Amino acid sequence: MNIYFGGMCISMAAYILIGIFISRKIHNAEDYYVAGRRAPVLLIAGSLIASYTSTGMFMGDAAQAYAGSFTSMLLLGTMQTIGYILGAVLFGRYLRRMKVMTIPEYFGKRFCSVKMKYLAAITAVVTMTVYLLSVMQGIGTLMSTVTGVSYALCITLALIVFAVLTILSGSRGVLITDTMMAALFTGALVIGAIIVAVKAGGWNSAIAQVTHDPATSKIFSWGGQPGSLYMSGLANVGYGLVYGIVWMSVCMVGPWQTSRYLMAKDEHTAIRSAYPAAIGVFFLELLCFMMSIFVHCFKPELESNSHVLIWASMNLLPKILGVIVLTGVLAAGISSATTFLSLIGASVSNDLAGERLKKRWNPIRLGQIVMAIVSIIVLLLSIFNPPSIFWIMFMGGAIVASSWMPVALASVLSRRLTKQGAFCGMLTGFLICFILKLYQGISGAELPVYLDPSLMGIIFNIIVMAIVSSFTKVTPEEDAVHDMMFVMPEAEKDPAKVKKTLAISKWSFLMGAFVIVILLVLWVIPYLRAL
Amino acid sequence: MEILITIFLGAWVSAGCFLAYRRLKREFQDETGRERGR
Repeated sequence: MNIYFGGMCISMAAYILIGIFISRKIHNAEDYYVAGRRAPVLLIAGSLIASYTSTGMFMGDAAQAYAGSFTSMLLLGTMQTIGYILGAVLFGRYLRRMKVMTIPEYFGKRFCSVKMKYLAAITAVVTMTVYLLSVMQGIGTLMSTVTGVSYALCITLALIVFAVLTILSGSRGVLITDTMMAALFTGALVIGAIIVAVKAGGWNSAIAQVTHDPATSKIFSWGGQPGSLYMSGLANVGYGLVYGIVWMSVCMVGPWQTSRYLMAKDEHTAIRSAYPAAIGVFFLELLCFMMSIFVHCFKPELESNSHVLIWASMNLLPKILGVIVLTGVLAAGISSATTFLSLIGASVSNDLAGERLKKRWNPIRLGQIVMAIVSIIVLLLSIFNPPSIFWIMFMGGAIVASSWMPVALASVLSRRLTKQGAFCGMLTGFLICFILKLYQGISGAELPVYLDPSLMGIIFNIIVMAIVSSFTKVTPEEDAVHDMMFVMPEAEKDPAKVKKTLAISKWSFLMGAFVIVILLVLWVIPYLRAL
Repeated sequence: MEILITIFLGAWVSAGCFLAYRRLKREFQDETGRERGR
């Protein structure tokens, strides 16, 4: 057993022990599925960051940055962060007022439609299973590369850990371990990026070295390295803009993000936690891209680009720090996996299970059985599927953006949206995105960036939603539910809390200035000087 | 162009924060106004 495998095993044993400890504090379904609805800002923000940050970022995004798509990934990574804030303000707090356990249940209640709940639950389960699969593959690739142990054994071991943790401790355990893991991988990434930069002669010198090398001279330019995504710089920027909007939508309404707002102590907690989550994700993405690109100073070519941070951790960092970074990447994967698994369990047991099943088992037991079955299915799929983390992960996000985002926002902002309009819009967005992605995957065809499946899904979702709603009528029940959503609960009107939340929100525009300063200091000025 | 992208991203983030603030302010003020009216 090498030292990296040892570190990973110790961390996984710790997560299981925490899960066992927390499981003793679960008393009812609310504790299990929505953490008793009393989580503070720290846990909500930590979990928002951890559920976004997975092996997809540390391996998929890192690989894209190493390959030369820095600006595309930077556009995506920065544009999406605003989704946390808009999601909490425009959707999350209204979601809380419906007192639901899951987001599909919200859609069902909002439109007084069981069909709507089923459709949302099916899209949620498909998306999260696909996403869980990508995380599993990432964890398997990471562990087998680092330890030399077989891929199948590695994913079985990881699956046992996150399945036991999730099944035992539910969302309460997921929130606590997510926050711990977020602290671990944030610290590891910050220290890791600094050490790699120092070894390359300093931050500015590392950027200069990459820029002076003819093979990588365009990585830090606005158009990126030709061929890393597209040959033209404009198309690469277009990709960043399109996926920036898509992932902003995912951060706004994605079930793994918005479900956190259901667990928050109150609406103020949900809103306030969105700001540190947005800043945290921006920082982590930027550091991840920079650290990956700096690897060019030491290793111009890798066998697999998605191993870039693994290579850096094993070859550039002091051993103990390498162990911490790799344990942090594993933690990022496990934290996302626990989130997806717990949401799949909640969606199936709460939204899709028939009355007979609900009568036979209590909600917690039913969720646990579902999670165990899903874990086995995902394990088998992971073993038989080749690893292609980046693209599978993007399919999950794309489906959420194209099927959920327009309907979720319109469910709050529009009085004219009917249940038929919402259903047809969501179904159209889902089908268009899924079919186009499948076509791309099977045929290998490359669509131009403006015909991207997720963008097409969003556009057609909006068009169909508007047309069908114009031919149908909002029922008095739907109208009443919409009105009810805008009644602020008495507990949320505390003047001190309102003042604090408004003050945070008022000064948050400074985040834009902060982004400009950080990008100028860490990217633009060193790059322009190096030219 | 790199500077333009940086300014665009900063403006994007600020615009999103401003939108969120405007929405919150309007809704909280509506509620406070209603309270005063009573």
